[in-house]
Amino acid sequence: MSVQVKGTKLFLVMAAVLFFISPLFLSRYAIYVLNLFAIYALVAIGLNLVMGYTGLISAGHAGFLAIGAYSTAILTSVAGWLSPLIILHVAGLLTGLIGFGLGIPILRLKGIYIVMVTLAFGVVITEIILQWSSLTHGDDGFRVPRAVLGGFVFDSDKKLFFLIQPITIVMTLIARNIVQTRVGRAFRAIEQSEIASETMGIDLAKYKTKAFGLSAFYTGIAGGLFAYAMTYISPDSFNMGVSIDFIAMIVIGGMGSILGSIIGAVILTGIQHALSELPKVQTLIFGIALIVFMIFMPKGISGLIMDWKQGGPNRKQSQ
Amino acid sequence: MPLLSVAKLSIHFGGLAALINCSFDVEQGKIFSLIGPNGAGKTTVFNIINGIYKADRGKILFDGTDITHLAPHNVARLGVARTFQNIELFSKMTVLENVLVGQHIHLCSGILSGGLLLGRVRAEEKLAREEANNIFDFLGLTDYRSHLVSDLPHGIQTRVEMARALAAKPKILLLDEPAGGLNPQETQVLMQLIERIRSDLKITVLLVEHDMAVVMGLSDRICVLHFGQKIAEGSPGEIQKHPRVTEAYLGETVEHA
Repeated sequence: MSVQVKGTKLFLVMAAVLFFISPLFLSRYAIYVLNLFAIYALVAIGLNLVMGYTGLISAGHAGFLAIGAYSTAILTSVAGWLSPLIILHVAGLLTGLIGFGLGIPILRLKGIYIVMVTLAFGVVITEIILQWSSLTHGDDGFRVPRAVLGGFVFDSDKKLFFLIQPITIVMTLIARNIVQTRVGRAFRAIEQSEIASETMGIDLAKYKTKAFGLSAFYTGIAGGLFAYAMTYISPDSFNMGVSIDFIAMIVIGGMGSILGSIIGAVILTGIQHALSELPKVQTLIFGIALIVFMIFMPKGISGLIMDWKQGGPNRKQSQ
Repeated sequence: MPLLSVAKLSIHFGGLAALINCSFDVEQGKIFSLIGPNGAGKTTVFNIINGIYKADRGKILFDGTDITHLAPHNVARLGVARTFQNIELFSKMTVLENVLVGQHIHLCSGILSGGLLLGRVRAEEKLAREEANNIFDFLGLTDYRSHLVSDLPHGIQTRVEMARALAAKPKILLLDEPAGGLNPQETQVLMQLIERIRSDLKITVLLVEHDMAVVMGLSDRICVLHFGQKIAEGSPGEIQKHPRVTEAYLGETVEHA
């Protein structure tokens, strides 16, 4: 057993080392895609916290991504001397605060009504960005200045790799810890039985708004990294279809699973880029995949992996 | 002073009066049962105590505090825990995780401290698991601690729900038909458990139950509801002899019990 644990650890360390030297031999495009994987993994984790774990559907997460991206872009253009880590924090906290605020009207709602409110939120945010052109440059889009950390300019995908990947890894570990401790258990409890949760002392209002705030924080940070990676953002980058893609990510990857969030983000972003010439086919594939997974594999790919790990190899013996 | 004092409680659902002027006192350390035919208002009493329903009139004092208008999570914080008639477990979680949720009010980690897994959070989580193990020992659930609740038979689930409630270290435990759907052997075990919850853990028990053998065998005091009204209260012996009770509800079953 301990040999096995040691082996796993060694494997993880080697994988990490390999991962962080990979920009040395990967193409510029491959690094760019890896960065997008990480950014969307953060979005998917964020969405999963509120939707998979707490059971509150959000169909407007592109709105949070937009808030994070635009606040990062604007902050960097007016105060470019600030460390990107500070800028990203501000962007994340601002988005989180707005998410927390959106959580309040949602407290009184259930199911489909939550979908409608969040959907409307996403639409309103892109509309605000479009109209508030003195700040956002509206339809023209926003050219995002390069992030500068202590004189080091993140002016290539390779350099951004070393900003985006560590942040994603740290935030993934934090999310994993959250879902395994008191707050995460409260989220999951709410998803499964509100009545039992509140009679066990869980303040539903507090935890639902917290879930929305935390989810928005993750998505806001992802938005900031997105702005840096894309170098140009426009309201169109955050339309309703993007929110639906995010839902597809966690449904396919696995609701209520951090690993699933990452898997879903990687698969969908991968397909998107593989089929970038055929956007219509993409939408078709996502749509069909969403339906198939919801019906036949509600636990997503991570659910399959878990089932296989728990029962698969030993199933014959136990029966 | 009684631990729980329910005074002149009334509630209507639409035109239906579910409870009318219902009053009873539960003394510390006793097993107190609410009985009555289906629709008598027993579970409604639980839901009002919990703060899930708001009473139209009346007052509930618990341990010296007026809890009539408190939200459910605040009632829980004062030391009220319950189980449900139709089991309300977190079915996609393991038995252990359910019991850890039960300890929610006694743990203090938040998003940041939990996310960073600070030292005190690690200590707290470790302690919470030790306490959960004690509860599993007490209720005979040790073998099931890592099982998903949805994989367990009904009888075990009933006990898991009790474990989750006990994890909150309540002063009073409200049990809503714990013997429902249990076979005679499981019912025997359940009765012993409830008795030990009172005697070993010093927790007061408020019981709603249809199984008269359970009610008569365990209760110190029984309150009988009929169409939302209290028609009798007394010791098991008194209740069995009470003419209105026999007439309204117990009928022949008194002879068997």
